[in-house]
Amino acid sequence: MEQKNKLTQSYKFLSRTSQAILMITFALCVIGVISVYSASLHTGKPFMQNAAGKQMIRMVLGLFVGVFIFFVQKKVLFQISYWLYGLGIMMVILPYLFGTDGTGTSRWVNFGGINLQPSELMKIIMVLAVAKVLSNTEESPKNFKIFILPVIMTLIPTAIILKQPDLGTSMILIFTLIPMLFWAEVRLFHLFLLIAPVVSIVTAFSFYSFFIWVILLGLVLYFTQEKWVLLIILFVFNLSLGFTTPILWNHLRPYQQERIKTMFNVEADPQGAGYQVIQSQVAIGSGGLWGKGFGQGTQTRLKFLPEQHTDFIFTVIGEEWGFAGVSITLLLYFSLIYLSYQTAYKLKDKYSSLVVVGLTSILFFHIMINIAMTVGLMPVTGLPLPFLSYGGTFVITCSLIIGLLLNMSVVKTRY
Amino acid sequence: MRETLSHIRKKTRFISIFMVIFWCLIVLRLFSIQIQNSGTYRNYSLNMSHKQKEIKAQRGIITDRKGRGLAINVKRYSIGVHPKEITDKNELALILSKYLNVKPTDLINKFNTSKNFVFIDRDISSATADSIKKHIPCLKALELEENIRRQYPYNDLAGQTLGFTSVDNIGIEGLEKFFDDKLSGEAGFQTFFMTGTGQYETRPNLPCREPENGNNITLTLDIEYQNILHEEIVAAHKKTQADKAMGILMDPNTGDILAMASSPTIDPNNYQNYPAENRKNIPLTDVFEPGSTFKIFTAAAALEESIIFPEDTIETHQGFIIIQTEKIRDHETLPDMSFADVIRHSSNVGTIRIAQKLGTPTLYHYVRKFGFDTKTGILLPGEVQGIMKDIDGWTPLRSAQISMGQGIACTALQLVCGYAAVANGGILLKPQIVRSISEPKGNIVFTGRTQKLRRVISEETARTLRGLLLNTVEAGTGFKAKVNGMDIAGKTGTSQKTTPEGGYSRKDYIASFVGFFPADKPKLLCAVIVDNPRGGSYYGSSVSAPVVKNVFKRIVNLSEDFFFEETSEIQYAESPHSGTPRLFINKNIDDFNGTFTMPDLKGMSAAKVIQLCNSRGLKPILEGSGKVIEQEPRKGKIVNTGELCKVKLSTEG
Repeated sequence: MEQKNKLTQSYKFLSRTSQAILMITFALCVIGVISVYSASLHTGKPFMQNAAGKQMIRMVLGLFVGVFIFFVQKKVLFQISYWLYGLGIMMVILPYLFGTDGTGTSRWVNFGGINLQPSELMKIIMVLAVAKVLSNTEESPKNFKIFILPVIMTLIPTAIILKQPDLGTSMILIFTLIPMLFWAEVRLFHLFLLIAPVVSIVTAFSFYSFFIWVILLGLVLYFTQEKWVLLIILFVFNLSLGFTTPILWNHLRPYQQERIKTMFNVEADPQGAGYQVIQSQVAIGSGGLWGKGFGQGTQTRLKFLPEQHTDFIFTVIGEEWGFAGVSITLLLYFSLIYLSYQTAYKLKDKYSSLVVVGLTSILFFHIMINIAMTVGLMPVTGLPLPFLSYGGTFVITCSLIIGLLLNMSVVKTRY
Repeated sequence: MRETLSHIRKKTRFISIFMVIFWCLIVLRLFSIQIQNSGTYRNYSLNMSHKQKEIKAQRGIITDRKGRGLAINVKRYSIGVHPKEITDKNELALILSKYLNVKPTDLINKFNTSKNFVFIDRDISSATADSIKKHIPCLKALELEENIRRQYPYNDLAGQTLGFTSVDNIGIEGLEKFFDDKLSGEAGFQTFFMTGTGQYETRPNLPCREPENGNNITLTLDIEYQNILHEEIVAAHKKTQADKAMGILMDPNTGDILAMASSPTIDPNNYQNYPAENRKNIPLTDVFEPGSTFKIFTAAAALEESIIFPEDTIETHQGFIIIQTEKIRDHETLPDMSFADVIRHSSNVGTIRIAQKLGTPTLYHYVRKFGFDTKTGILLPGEVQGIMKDIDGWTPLRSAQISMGQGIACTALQLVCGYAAVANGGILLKPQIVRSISEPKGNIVFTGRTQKLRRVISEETARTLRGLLLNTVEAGTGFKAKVNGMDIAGKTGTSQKTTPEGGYSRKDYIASFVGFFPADKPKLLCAVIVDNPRGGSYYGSSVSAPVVKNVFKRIVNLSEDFFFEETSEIQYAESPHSGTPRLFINKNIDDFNGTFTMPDLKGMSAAKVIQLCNSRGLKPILEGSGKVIEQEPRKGKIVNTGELCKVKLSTEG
């Protein structure tokens, strides 16, 4: 009796924002199926047998998973967060032991006939675990201990996944951590400590960029008004990191350099560097304002476009529906992300709020990196586009994210 | 722990700004590529997917005057695969290896590539291509492309005249080069949709154009005559160990070149295997001093100008003549003789005396009039105009030399054209090599009509000259060209080759002979020039005259056109005005002893076959009655006297 009452309560309090999020998600899923269908038209198979049909089935499966996670009590989730984390770490190690291609470099693992990517689920588990650490009410997040724990918790799976190699997912883990730390109001100086070495390494490949960065670093450190000794150590550390990077790079053997380069371009690129990006730009550009129409994308249909129903699904929309179609898609994404962040700041429960920020960040960085890649603003990293890209585990991941997001926002209304 | 409102605002503002910046960037970028530069990308996309494939036009064929193909096209195929479309590499390799004579492992190596397309074999026959099409399961991965290859079925016959094409079917020598624009036609195209994996897809309503095939060319050459001339020239070249040998066979009445041969030869089918020197069509690209063969033109001028008559006596008994301190000798000292005998014996002194009477300007005028120092304008590449001094350079000595064919260089073709004027009654003709050019559908776009350039001498003069030349063969220097029963007329020539130092060589000669027959009403004119014969005689009379004789003899044997029912006395040219134009056959032609080419007997009566066999010393075996339908030996075969000649006769057909 009480259970039933709770259920109706949940539905009743599903706020307008949550309803909007749900509707946007459905809209995006519809766009996704249409686009995947268009991208697989050239196979000549009927709808249910091609990628679009499979995608539909996965989405229905995703719906069940999402509904399930929606009804799991927040309290339970909070309690099992660390357990899940441990399980997640074990799962990301699994591909090294039982990788589907046997070489230990696969990111896939086979669970009773179904290929799964544990690293996908790791993103969500990470958010839950980090949120639990940061929502600790006994210690202030300004405390270095509270700051460093989530960082270490993130770096462990990141390192494992990076070695698979899966640069995209590793990037998502790190990128998700930063807004969460920011949201939890750790000291900005600590956040800077986390970001600075990365910038040092990246800028080190060009003298001018490194020069500018060093000046910026010096200024920022100066204004933090920390202890001099600490500042000097930090400065020297970043400086030496920058200086040694090119030297280390040059000392690497060509095949090692190649290996690192392929991490930035995971999907083997058969027709030379940049081919995919060029093809993608040509396809989107040739779409014009109104696009070529459903199934009319020549770049898509004639298979010039690689990975068209997975990582480059946005390109299909760009070519076939033009600037108009792309704008609508972008508007939907913007609304989704905006509403989700809004939900986060309306939530008074810190754990829920952090989980929502984390989950939204996962979606946001996926969208950002993928779209920037398809329009040629970023290198090819092989990250799919939420709700649109074809892909089994990723559909489940997205369903879980939306399910959890709504779960968190509904729980809030009961307080 | 409650947060303050300002805190929340600060946090959300920061994230919002970040989001908005990112979205603006993306939208700007999309605006740039989809709105601003959309046209560029659209063109790029079109270029990528719309591929125009050339449809090659068929090159026109070249045939001889009777329509036999001298340069034809054969279908070959090139085969390649799209490795990405192969479903089973091992299976395909195994099947393909059966047809292509390649190891399966080599094929698999070729399949294992990142390329979209690889060639396997570029030259397979259409039969192989057909069986591959029938038996290969994975046709989508295969691409068979039809290639048209040029082929020259008669190999080195008229090789230099025909020329050849490059691998891309572009004419690079000979007629193939000269008429390349006519032969090549215009390629068409077909538009395909090309997929990213390199496969072509056809769609309706894509732009296309049918190719326009090249024009066909019919030559004046007759390949049978060409064969005869070729064999004789090659044989003479070999026998005399000369540097080179050349010959032209012409119909003097029309200017049609019936055969033109040069040795060393070249086979256009694999021209790469021959030295570049062999490519030259030497009868029109090489010049030589004609020597005594040239004397006929001096004689023509003198006769035409009525300066001298055949019976007039010329003073030649000294055996030499001195001009400007230069002493010019005859090869043998003869008593004073008639003008006719000057030609018959090819007397240098006599000729010079006639030339002196004629005067330099008149001689110059006639030399030019006969077409020397001017290109004949034949439709073949590489013709030269010869070497001759301008009239200012004609000193009395040079004038005397030129009158006997020294100090002037001409091509064999120029010499032939000059003689043709004598043979046909005084008209200089433009030599013809192309009989007609027709479009693929059959419309004739060009006809090689006889082109009379000018009258050089009167018919009367020409007739007299023909008599003189007949005499030369019958009882003069050209006796080695004589065939009993055939009234061949002609003139020999033996000229010393010039040395690089400017003088004349004492050991290098050019032996020439120009002859035509029947003397009275010439049908054929043949010139044979052997450059630098070694090992024995170097005279035109002994080196070149027999070659011309053989050519004429074999042609007469070959073709029924030259058989005549009636026998008659041989008409000598001393009495050129008597009787109807008569041709020459005698019942007992002793000269046909030995070998000869089997003529075509088809359609002949039994009586005629027996008559013919008797005249050649063959033993006839007849079967049935009526007209000949089958013969053995077949037409064109070389037969010996005494062999059997079996014929089947039938009343039908």
